[in-house]
Amino acid sequence: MNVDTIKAMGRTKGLPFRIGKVGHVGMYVKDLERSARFYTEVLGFQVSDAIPPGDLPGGAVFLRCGTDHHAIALFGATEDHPAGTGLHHVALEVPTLDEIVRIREHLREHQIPINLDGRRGAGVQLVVEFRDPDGHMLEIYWGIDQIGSEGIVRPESEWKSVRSLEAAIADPVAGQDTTVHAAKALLSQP
Amino acid sequence: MTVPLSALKRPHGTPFQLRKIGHVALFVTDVERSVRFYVDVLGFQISDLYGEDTMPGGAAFIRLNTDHHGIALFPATQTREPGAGLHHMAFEVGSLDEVFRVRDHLNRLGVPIHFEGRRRAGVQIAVEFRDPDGHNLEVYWGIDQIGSDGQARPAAQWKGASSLEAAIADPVTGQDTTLLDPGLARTR
Repeated sequence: MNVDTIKAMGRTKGLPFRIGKVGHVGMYVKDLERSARFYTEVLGFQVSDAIPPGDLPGGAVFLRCGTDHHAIALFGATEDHPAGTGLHHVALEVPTLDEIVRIREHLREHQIPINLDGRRGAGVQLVVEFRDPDGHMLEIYWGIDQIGSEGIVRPESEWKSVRSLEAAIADPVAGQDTTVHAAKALLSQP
Repeated sequence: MTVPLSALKRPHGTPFQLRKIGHVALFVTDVERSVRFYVDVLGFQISDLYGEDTMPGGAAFIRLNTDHHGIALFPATQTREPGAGLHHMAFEVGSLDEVFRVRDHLNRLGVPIHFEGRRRAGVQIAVEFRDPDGHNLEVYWGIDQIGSDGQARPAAQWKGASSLEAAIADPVTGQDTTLLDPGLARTR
């Protein structure tokens, strides 16, 4: 490792997006209930959604510490992903939907394989998912549900999980404005 | 002036940290006309409206993020010229304890406090006072967060209170009013 080379790395100019924050981290855990108890009782998180293993291998629990639907996501360990190996994924937020569309294009230009684009379930954010050089799963997202003081979480019947940005944009969930502006030309036409 | 302005620094040990300008409230000539402007032109969303029965001329609380209000609009009165007035400006602190520390701090410095406790829409717990020119300032914690469902707390839950002690003794639903330093509350 060359320290000087690394320190000389600045922000690449002209990128068509700007990451706003680390939005959430997903982790594999051995016992979802034990971990959910730890994050709620010891650290004060609140449960936004819980997915049983029947709907997702291993199951999952989504927890929040602010208004973002989840800041921590716990995934039950499976044979392929034993507990203690840690990371499921890291998610980075961008402030506009246009940037999600541009990131997909940017990744395609750099020939970085895209694992998924579209909308998953709990949280209903629009995402592009891919891997870093070591295989860490990264998610870049926009539009995660905000949970108010009353603690009401969007019902599962409204989630609209889809496997392309075009489909997610064409069929927004209630309250989500999926108007794409200048990046419209980058969307494939139906 | 004893210290030149260029040398002024935040006093070491200030017992609270203002985190952001949380909201600004304006006097307006016509609340309805102004609500239409902020919603139609700037994309705000309405969190709460006071009708004539709650406040003469009404009032509006509108948001630009999850905070219950980023702008509040109050009708101009005879003592305020319509169209261009500041009603108040509010700063958020990160903890309930800090609201109490602000009260002690203002008392120590001899700054009169003209309201403390919990007002209505937004249900934040606040201390209100004036700057040297008479601008109304509010320091608050615990303003309602409005989720993607757009549901604001029903008015029946508001629980106005005219002291910090009364506000924490009777929290609104979902508001954890535990003081980390219980010694900050005044005992009778």
